[in-house]
Amino acid sequence: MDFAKIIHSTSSTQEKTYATLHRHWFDLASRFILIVIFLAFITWCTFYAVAYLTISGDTELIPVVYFLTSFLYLIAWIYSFFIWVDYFLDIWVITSARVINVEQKGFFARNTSELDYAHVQDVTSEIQGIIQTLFNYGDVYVQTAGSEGKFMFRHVATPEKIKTLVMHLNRQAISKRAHPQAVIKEIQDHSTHHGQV
Amino acid sequence: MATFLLMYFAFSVCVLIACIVVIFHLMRYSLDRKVALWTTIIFVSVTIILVLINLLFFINIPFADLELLGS
Repeated sequence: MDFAKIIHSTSSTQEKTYATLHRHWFDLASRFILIVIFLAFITWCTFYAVAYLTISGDTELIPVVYFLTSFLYLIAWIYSFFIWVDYFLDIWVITSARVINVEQKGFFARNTSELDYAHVQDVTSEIQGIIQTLFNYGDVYVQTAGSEGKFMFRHVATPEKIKTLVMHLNRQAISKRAHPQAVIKEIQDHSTHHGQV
Repeated sequence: MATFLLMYFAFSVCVLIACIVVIFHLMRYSLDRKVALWTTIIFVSVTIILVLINLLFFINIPFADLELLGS
């Protein structure tokens, strides 16, 4: 994965990526189901219209019906890719140093925000309803001390595990701040390993 | 018929712009290059097929007979 597009490591220590998250597949599937139902309805209407026109003798209109059907199929195909792009470009990345939220809002708006673990105040996971319970997905809210206020992982799989991971990394960050010698040693070990003085 | 041709041309331009927007976003913002490439290939190939089918149906519309029906 090409994380260089969104991660610019400002730290001299190696930044490890623990998780790259998208919204749960059911979130995507539920939107596609509507398109499939729409296309099935259009196909049924086409068959019915062609049969009716054939019986009534107005066969000049049959190519028009086929044209309109293919037109709607094309629109539905392009729209389904709009949905896919919106789903695929919403990413949450959990690294050893921070949490990165990349949110695609429509096509011409993209929001990227970072959260340092030291600013995390509270983490809550939420699973609501039958569908979310069955498929084990939900929301994770990260309360921060920064300007962002609340960081949200929306409709992600295994929200409780994500909450546990973020809390663990938060405690690690607090521990490092309390013991800066550990951080210095880590930087020195990293420099020695890469042949730097 | 000129009106229909103009409308179809406008529709084709809109489809082309929509396709460019989708491909641009997939190729520029995807973290996973392989997934981006495969989805782009699938999208472009299916879109081309659908556009060609649509064009074929448009060409086969008997505009002269429809104008007679209208009048």
